[in-house]
Amino acid sequence: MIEWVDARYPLMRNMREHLTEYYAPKNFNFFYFFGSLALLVLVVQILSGIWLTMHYKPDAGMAFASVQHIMRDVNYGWLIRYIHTTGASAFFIVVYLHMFRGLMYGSYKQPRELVWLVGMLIFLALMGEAFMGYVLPWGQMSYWGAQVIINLFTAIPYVGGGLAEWIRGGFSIADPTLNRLFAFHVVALPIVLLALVAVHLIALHEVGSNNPEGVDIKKKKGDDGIPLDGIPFHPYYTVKDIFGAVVFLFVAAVILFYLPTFHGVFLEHDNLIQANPLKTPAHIKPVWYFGTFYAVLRAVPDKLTGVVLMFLSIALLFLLPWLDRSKVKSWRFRPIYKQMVILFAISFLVLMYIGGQPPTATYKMFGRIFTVIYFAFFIALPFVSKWEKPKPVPERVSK
Amino acid sequence: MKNWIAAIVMGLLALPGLAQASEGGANLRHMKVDYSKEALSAGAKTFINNCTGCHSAKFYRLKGLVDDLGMSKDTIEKKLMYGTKDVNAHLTSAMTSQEGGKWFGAAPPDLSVDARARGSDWLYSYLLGFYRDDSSSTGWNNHVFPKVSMPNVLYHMTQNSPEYYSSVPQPKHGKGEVEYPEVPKKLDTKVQNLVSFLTYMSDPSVLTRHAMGPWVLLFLVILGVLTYLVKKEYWRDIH
Repeated sequence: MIEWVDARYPLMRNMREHLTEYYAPKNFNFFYFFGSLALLVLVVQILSGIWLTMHYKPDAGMAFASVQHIMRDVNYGWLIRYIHTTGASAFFIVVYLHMFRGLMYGSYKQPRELVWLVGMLIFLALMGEAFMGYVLPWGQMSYWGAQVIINLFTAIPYVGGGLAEWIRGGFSIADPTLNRLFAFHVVALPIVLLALVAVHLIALHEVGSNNPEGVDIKKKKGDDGIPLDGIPFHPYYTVKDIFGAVVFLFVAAVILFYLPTFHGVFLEHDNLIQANPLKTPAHIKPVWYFGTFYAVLRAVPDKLTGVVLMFLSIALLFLLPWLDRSKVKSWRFRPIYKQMVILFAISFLVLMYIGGQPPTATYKMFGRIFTVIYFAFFIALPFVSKWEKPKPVPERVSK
Repeated sequence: MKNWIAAIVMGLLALPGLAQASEGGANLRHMKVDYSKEALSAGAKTFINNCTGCHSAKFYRLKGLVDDLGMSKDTIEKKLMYGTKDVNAHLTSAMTSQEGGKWFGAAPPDLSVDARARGSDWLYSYLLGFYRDDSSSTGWNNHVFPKVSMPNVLYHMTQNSPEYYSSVPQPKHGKGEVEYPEVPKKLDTKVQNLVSFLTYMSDPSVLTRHAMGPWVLLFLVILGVLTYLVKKEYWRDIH
């Protein structure tokens, strides 16, 4: 049977290349769970999303009620929806930790630049997917959030106004907007995401995984050609990741069954009020995972400058492999780089918090200070990475 | 190196307090939502007998009172709805929003998911936050929702028992929290049960969730132990 398939499709070869004979460093730590967890969440989101699509109505007049219909009248509809809403926030938690891991151990550096770039594209697609998904329940935050985000395009000189109108399908957010965002959310972007994830994995398996010490395990191979510090992904990391997945599911289940709105953070309270184009909410704020970029946007009074800064706050991450000019990968051997990454992470989190707060004078001031710190990381990196003398990197990984 | 991180983090923990101090707003009372069948049934009766004259809960099905709270079909159809509604119907008011808008100036909002949007503490404080105000058309005003057009419907229930609402103080001008008088036990229980019911109604899955939750978590703990043992067994030979 296997031979029959193998003569027509490289089944066993794929299994070997990606699982049983894909040699990963044996010293993966806690931060290496989040790649496989992101994949798990993607699958969960697609499955729960398919079932939600069976009952959701992408119609401005019916959308809000259809979500309540799912929550109340569909058998276990509440479970499917809470899986999807908890999954959305969980997706960003695991992806942010996954990206932070890349920063810690220099995983974006040569030869993994493409892995990083494709990963950043996945992050972009994920942000689009999350934004569009958030519009679908058609609550006040869905509506006014979409209003704010799509209006950002009007900051573009000359063509901005027309562009925003073209995106909305009208002069304001309305039924046509909801319909097209639904189409993108359930068809277009999931396809893009799946394709990019496949490319991300193929690129990774071509160059091999990095590790907490940034040691290239392919340099020291045994007589059989297998890296001395490598172990086959299957069964070692499959059994480890399955355990990690169960721990993750436990945390997700606690939230799902006991704190589904997570105190208004995962599901915002104002979004339980149906969208009303005539009533602007006092405080429009994005969901927590967009907080950082929203805080950067608000840090400057000028709209165009704010939009450019927000764009840069994401775009600069794409350039990391070239901004970091150090020969050493892991922060374990780069004490100054380590402090910079920690300060960057703190500014990321503080901005995330400020992005969800009303723009009072205090928050505005802190937003500006931490926006400067956020960008200072990228500005200082090329110089510090060149100038810092790293500690010696070991030949082999140590546990 | 750890020192500067600790310093920044400690400094930032003070940030929410710092920013909040300059704002203010009505102080809310706190109550604990009671999901017991007794409390929810009492709240359901208060809601249907007193609130549905004006307010709908158009997403809530009366069937929930049977499935979740164990009321009988007969009680609901005959004693609560007086034969006007079938047990499978949604809990809608006879008053339309057009009529409501005409009579009150603003249509009484639908309360299906109101507790989700506003929070139980807000509802609790709102219902106990009415004070006398002769300048308003209803004779009442509210601390939590100033100039609300809803009359103080709970007043008639408290007239004979120790009076409460007349002793709610007028709002202070400028900053400072309002000091509410003590709430009579009977009124307090009634309002708390009502708010508990509104909270349950805003997401009826809460009862199923709380019933299923422990079993799902127990399953995951067992699965976690088993998968950990499998992992440990495989990894024994890796050093």
